[in-house]
Amino acid sequence: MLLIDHYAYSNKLSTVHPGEKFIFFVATVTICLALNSLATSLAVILLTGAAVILLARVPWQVYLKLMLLPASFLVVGVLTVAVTFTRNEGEFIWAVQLGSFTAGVTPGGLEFAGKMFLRSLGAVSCLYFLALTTPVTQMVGVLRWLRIPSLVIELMVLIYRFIFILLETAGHIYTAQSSRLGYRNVRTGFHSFSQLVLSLFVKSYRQSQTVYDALLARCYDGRLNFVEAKYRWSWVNIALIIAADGALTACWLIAGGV
Amino acid sequence: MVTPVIETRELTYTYPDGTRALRGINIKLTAGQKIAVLGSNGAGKSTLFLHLNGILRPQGGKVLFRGSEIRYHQRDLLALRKNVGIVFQDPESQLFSASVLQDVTFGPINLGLPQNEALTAAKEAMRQTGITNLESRPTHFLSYGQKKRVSIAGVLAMEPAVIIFDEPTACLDPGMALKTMALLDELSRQGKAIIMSTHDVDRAYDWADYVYLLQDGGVIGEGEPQHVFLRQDWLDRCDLKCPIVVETYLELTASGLLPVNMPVPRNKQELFQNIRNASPASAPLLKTVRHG
Repeated sequence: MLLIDHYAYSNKLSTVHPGEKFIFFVATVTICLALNSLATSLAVILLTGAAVILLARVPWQVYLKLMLLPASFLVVGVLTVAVTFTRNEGEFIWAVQLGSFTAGVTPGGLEFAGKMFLRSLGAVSCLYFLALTTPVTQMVGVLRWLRIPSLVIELMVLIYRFIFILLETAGHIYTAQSSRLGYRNVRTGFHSFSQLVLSLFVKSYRQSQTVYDALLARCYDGRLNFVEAKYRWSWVNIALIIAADGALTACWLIAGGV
Repeated sequence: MVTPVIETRELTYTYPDGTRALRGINIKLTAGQKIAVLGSNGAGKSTLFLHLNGILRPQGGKVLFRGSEIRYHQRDLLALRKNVGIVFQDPESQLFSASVLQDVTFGPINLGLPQNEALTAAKEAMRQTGITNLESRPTHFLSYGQKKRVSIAGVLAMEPAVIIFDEPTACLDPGMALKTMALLDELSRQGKAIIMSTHDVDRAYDWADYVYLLQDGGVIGEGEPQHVFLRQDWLDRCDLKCPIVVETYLELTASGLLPVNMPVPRNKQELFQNIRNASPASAPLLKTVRHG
């Protein structure tokens, strides 16, 4: 989570117009989900991977680690799809007999599972592209441009900021506790952790009061109004996006929709 | 007489839990004045500051801005908060946005300035505080000192006439503390009235034109620093020590090394000058040292 946030600000695409990145995300994820073909999904994964590693310059080890996370979940999920239970005789690649049932993998089931796996991973990789290249502060601008209600955006801005304050405070409390042996064994660990949660709650509550005072001190009137940083649309980038997503669709058409 | 920019008369305030934070406080300050407020923790400094900006409403007494009483309706409050800025002690409680630029422009936008004017004001405030290079950095990547400067910029951008600094040098490294004090001096030269709360008597003595000593929600002593810091009884009540310059001066006059009728030096440099002038051997000695 924090790793993604770190790269969102430091990657080489962070200064690109957030709208462009968002359009690329929407177009690619739509193609990936709508076409539902093995080849397209694989191409999407490779395309976004290349964009993140080669263009945004996120280290490939980091990207691989991040991709493994959803992939491991997907493998478990997809396994249940790949395995078919039936009473009937069927064309199985591999099967076990469980009483009157047969549990096994059929070619159809395998193809379906594979498609689902790659399609999901493709969609996730698109989301990773957006998350790794676009800081939340830029996303706010995009959401505003999409006419998302300002209440939602303001909540998002505040929650995002406070996540970090909360994490930092929790970190401080944890350090203070462990420096006095608060986590020396499971028993004290549970006790210390409950204390941590409690004092985190109390501190957050008091902090929210001071933040509110500080906002009032700068003429807060119930609305958070922001100045948006200006970004330039780049026609080269737009052309690149059209070319890349066009190529994905074209490949699919040529391959005959496999 | 010059009308004070801001003034309180017999301000009293009790928190809902029964703590009597203020018991009849009278303070005033004029444009360009540098005021230090000293007092132990819980003496009522922060509560007083929240009144000067209209965040808290006094239960007794009143706050006057440029001679007219604050009525606590929306228009008065807006004018007061535009003109009196508070830099809170903990920058974490002031920075609410993840983007430095957005946080600094927050105040000017609330004042109703159009985007480009708000941006200009923010850019100028960021230049003065030396954080222009942090513009596109997210708030949570900044160091404590950087966060502090962003919070100062956020207040400066509103171009207030009075700026309140709640312990501006607390937790800062000496270099950053010096820079912050230099900024305070610069702001005072621009004609802004500055209030600073601090526990550092030496810093307060050097810097302030006027000092208020707070204890248990009341002003127990006030005046020019060279007057206030000679009152050992006041200092004792506030648990404050004597500034080193004053202490040295008292020691030297008591032991006859400095003439008794000499005025109290305002700072370290004045004290050293006095010592050099008073010691008859110093001039030839300095010469020999230089020639040798």
